Amino acid sequence: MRVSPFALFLGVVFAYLVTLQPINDSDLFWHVETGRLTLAGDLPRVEVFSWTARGEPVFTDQWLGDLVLAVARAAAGWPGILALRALAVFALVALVVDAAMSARPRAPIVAAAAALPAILLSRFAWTDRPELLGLVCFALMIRLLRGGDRELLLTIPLLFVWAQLHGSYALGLGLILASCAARAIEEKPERWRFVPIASFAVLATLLGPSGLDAWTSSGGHFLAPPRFIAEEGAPDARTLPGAFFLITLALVIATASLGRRATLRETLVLVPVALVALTATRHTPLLAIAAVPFFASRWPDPIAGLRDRSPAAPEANLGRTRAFLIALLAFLPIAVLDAHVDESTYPRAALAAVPEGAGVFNQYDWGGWLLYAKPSTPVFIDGRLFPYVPDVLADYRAIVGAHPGWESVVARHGVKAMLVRPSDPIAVRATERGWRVAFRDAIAVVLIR
Amino acid sequence: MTRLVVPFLVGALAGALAAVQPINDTDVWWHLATGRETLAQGIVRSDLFSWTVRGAPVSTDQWLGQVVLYLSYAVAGWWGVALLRVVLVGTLIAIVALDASGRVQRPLAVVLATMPALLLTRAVAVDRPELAGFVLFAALLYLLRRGRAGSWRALVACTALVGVWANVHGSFALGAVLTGFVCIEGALRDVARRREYIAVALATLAVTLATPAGIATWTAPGSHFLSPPRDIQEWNVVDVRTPLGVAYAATLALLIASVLAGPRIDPREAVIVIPVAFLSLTAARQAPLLAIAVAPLFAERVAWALAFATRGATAQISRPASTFLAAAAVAIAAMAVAIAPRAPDERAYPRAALDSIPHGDGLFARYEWGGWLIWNAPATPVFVDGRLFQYRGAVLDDYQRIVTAKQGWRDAVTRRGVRALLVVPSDPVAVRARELGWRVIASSESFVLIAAP
Repeated sequence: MRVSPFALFLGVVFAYLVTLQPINDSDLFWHVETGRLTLAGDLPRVEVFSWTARGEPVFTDQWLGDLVLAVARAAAGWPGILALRALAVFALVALVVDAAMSARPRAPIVAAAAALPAILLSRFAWTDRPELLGLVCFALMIRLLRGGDRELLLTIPLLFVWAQLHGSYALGLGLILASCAARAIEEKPERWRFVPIASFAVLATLLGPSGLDAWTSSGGHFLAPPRFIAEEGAPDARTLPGAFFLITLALVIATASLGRRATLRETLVLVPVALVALTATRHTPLLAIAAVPFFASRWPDPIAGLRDRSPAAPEANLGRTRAFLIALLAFLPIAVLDAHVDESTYPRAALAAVPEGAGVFNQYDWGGWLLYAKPSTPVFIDGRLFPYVPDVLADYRAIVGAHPGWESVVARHGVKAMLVRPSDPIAVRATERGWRVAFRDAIAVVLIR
Repeated sequence: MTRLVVPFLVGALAGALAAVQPINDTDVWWHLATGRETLAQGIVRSDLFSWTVRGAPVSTDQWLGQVVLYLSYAVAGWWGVALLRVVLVGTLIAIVALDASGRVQRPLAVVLATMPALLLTRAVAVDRPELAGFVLFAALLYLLRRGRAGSWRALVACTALVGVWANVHGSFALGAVLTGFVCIEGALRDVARRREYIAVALATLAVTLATPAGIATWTAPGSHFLSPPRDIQEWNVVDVRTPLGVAYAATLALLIASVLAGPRIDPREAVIVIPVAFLSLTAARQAPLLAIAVAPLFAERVAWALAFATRGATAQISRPASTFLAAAAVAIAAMAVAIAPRAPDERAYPRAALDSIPHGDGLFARYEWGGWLIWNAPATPVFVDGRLFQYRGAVLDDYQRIVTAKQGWRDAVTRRGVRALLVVPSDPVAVRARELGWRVIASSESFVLIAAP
């Protein structure tokens, strides 16, 4: 599969741009810690970081993604994490733009326009998590599904790797099955050959540490997304991602209405992806990515009449261009040299006042960082979420919001200290109820019983 | 008659389903009260019902809808209110079916294409001017399609309809915008009638100003579109985990599949469907608009599928069958009238507290009870109610602070001059007030009335 120089160029541009984003995702830390344990040969299958859900089964559906992050951290520290992010964004943008270019060769303006929604929407997922690697896999999947039998076969190993990286693989499996169905309908001779392909695709998702349980996390997120987390909320037109998504969806409908009729394969990709994209804000980039070749193949070229009709550049020129771009990418390490974690929103100064051992109640947003910054203090809750639903999460919300009965919840759990924001209702109520303030600054307050 | 019998039947069925619903919308009360005051003293331009924003300007964009609602109550009591709902819902679905039947001959296709609208409009079958807005929306689409097909009278009727709509409910803005889009498309592609389209577009825009608020009429719809109050469920985004969300997602998926896989749709249809699809995604209460707008498109696709499945066999309703169906529709409509509720469902309201509520300013009550208190305790102005926009800012902030007992709630109680709290016993402020020893005036399982010191 050749990648166009224009796609590589845009990939390099955005790879450099993304290095300007600080490292501060609250989930990065527990991903790295989980990966670190996996690297040491101890894939966590039960909860080890909290004191509220200790010993409970945990998902292993992102074990490879966690491992990749841990390896990047171990090999090159925080610059390694930043470099990994840049490479992932490079791959994502290059694949997206290349999908547009392959659908509309020699029309880079159309390709760039078609790729723009995908770049803008996926921008919100350019974080240091396996989710970003899942998006790269999705973009590659979309690219492969437009090809022939050889490309369809390649989706199986891709799906296998994806199923180890991130739970979003489930959509990939759905698209492979839909693609097989579409091809079987369209290609009557030897349509039986798609049955084993579909079967192997299903099998590929089960060849992981979780086996059949691999479907639990994806199914859980899809059927019961934790709506109180912003990215799991339904797309809201008043937010930037929501507005971009609505525009993208309107573009899909407009393009379908006014342009050339879609093929069965395109329909069976776009319709399910649109449905999935509607379920949560974090899924919205999927529609934009899936729609790239659809847009590119149908949008008008504004400069079609003016375009230079000279013959295509010789292969040697293209090769030199690609080599130049790859070399440019090689200078990426310079951009990541001063990578560091932006801890401006984390309670670093409060750590000395936080007691060690079980019994500390922490703010949800700080859980992941806390298990990295103070491993001797197990967390009450963190961004992994599913080990804590429903009971621990309900108790967390009762305490942090100082709901009626919060004191009995505190007593039941044996909470001996709290690390919360000064503006949290519990910070006010606990002091009224006699908890001692061991530390306070603008970011955090530590309360001791 | 044959062409009308199916729309009449599905409309009667929809009306019957609407008749089963109780009268329990939290906003019906203040709509009735406003309609009553409008008839008594003219258009209500400033707040009459609260003590927190007394005298502040209020939106008048629903005055005609409120008057009609109150008249239905004045004529036939709560039964009249319910009958109005039955008639509106039945009319809405009948228009959708009639619009869908304009392009297809197969009755089953019309019925199936109307089903998404029937399902989704269940959520907006409420006793408010909003329901009339949906009826007018469906009627406008019917007229716009016929106007674009060549009927000058239909185009003119659009202008008149939007003019009425602008006095019934703030959703008129969608009608004005759609009329504009259709006229622009018509002016660009139908040169012979270009002047007609331009005239209708301008006249439609002008007629939206023929309201008590004039140009300020656009304020409410603009605010709702740009800054929807997300803390109110119906203004929240569509959640595909809810029954409404599932129905909506299925409708949207069918639309996308229809435009992707079917014949290219006419630009005249695209200019209606695309903006409506966009708007329907912005809030749950807008979701039914999509199902209403795409019914004709669905009818075409279903008819094609049925023709394919039956190898082109025709399916017309015979005259005897048509007569039977019309009689069935009449029977269903009569049943709907008979079973429509005759009293509101007040189980969610603190009726037992009414005798203990102090008269005059100073009552802090739950948001959901505000409208009901306006109607049932007119001597006690409310802190806040469902009219929402006039309370935005300081009043709503204080409401949230007090009811959730957040930091500074006691200062807010003192600053506002709250004399009594009427809340649910499990509300944080109820728990805190009792911890502080405030006197409980009255209580039950569903409410507590507490005197502020």
